[in-house]
Amino acid sequence: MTTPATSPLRVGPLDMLWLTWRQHRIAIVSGGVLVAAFYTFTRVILPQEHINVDTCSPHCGEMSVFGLAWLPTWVVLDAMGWLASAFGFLIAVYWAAPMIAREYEQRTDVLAWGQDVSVTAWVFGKIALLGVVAAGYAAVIGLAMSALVMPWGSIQPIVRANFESAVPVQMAYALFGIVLGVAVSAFVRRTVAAMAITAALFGIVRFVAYELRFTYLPPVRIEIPLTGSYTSFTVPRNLWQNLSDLGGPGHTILVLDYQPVDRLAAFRLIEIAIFVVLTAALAIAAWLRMRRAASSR
Amino acid sequence: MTTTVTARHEPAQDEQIAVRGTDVGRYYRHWRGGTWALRHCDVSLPPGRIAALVGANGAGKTTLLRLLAGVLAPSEGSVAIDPNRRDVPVAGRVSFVAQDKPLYRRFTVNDMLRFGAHLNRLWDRKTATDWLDRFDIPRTGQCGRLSGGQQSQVALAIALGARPSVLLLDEPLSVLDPLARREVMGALLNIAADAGMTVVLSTHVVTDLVGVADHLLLLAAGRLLVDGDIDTLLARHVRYIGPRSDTPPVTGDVVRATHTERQSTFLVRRAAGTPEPPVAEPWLARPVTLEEFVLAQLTSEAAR
Repeated sequence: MTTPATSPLRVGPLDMLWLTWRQHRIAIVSGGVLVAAFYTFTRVILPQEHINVDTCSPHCGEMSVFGLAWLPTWVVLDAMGWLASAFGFLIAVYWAAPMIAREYEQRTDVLAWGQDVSVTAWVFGKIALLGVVAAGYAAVIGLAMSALVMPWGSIQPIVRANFESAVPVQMAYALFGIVLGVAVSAFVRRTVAAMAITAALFGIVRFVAYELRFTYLPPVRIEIPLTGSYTSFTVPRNLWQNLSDLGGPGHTILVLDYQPVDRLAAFRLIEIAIFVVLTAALAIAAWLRMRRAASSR
Repeated sequence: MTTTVTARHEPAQDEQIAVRGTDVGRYYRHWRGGTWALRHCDVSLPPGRIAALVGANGAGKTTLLRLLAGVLAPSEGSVAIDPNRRDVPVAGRVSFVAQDKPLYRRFTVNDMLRFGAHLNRLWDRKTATDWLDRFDIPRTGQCGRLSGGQQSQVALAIALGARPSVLLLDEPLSVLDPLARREVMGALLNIAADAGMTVVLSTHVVTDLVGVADHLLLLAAGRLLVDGDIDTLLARHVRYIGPRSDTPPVTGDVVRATHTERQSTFLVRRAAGTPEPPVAEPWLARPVTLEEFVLAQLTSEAAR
């Protein structure tokens, strides 16, 4: 490392890689351990312990968790879906939110950004490197989840786990989490406050997206005339459905609104697009904020 | 205000400049109103200067250093580092060691050396490690476990290893014992001279500066009172002691006059280029020390 002082070097990605690893290695390693545990549980332990995959929909199937309790399959899958969602949340709150705030709080901001790396290069170098790691971990989670829900296809009771089980969807959540945490950190500058605000915002955005995701496209509508005293019809396989009564005199028509199951890919793409746009907007906000905080020179 | 600015260093057209602040000011907003921490500050330092930034608490020393370091953006005016230098491999590089000597607490001292090496375009490992060895700083311990004085030395080592053209030190000696102060200042001078570094260091202990600094920046209440070469400044000021009198025995600006019942003391500034006028008995002419000069400036400013 002895560099003659007369030959200027460039401070490049490898240098940021060293710094990012040195400052975040505990987070990266412990995150890796958690993700490996999740993968092992989902791919190795759970599949050994379910029954009725071939003969039964999740409505009636059961899964055993460590042989301790038999639970309805959809309950187990939904719980795994929640665990998978927790990953992006943890990344946002524990990796990203303290990143800038801690530098200000421990007054190392002068040290961190007083070398030959600009504030914005520092921030975005770290976002990029942590983002790659987080996206990699998210891909592992997405793979595990999609393998887990595959036997049941797209069936409504496990719709949450199923919708979010795709690799790119999980990656989008993780990247959004990283950039959200960093952006909040850039504005708030207090570690605990940044973590709390990040947690709240991440929760709100994910909840709103969860609630609204099947309104991204207008539903397909079927009108069912009620003839006589008994009418039977088959509800198409769907992601979401709502049966209503048009009302009026006689109540002669039932209305079924639903999202066909083959729209799953389209909905996932829309959700990914929404999170990518949010991520980009937050990245711009963080960039503007840090540029203002930085020198005028 | 004409008497406050003395012996301003006026660089020639082609003279190289390491630090230039032009009408620099910084305004701090509070929840109600705000204050100017620094205003109308013009500074110009050529390469190789060791400048002492002196002032009372709250005079704006840290603000000025942070502005020069680029950590803080000026509210008005501008700051330039190495605006016209061609003798350095990379111009405009500043190292700033803040008052609390920030380090990453979980990094070992060796990690801090790697930090300096990775994040700087110029890195002189030998200067940094020599500094650490000289002050017996253990390399493998975490920075957070070092004493305050040792942390200061690590922060200084990193700043020196970066080979900046301008080194800004905020109260670098504050946590060091008197012996270490002398050694630090001596070693710092050598490195700065070797590397052609400009050093600006703030302190409120003027005695630390004697024999070290060659340039004085004196701040009071957010204004730069004095900016000049210390030898020139001191040579232009004389202290006259004599019988009680309302006027000094010579012509010139009276910076400060003190009177007892039977004796008067005048600190007088001669006009530039004039020789020291002789005084008749019973007046005594005495050279002014840096401490007397600073005190006189600050008290006369406070009385204004």
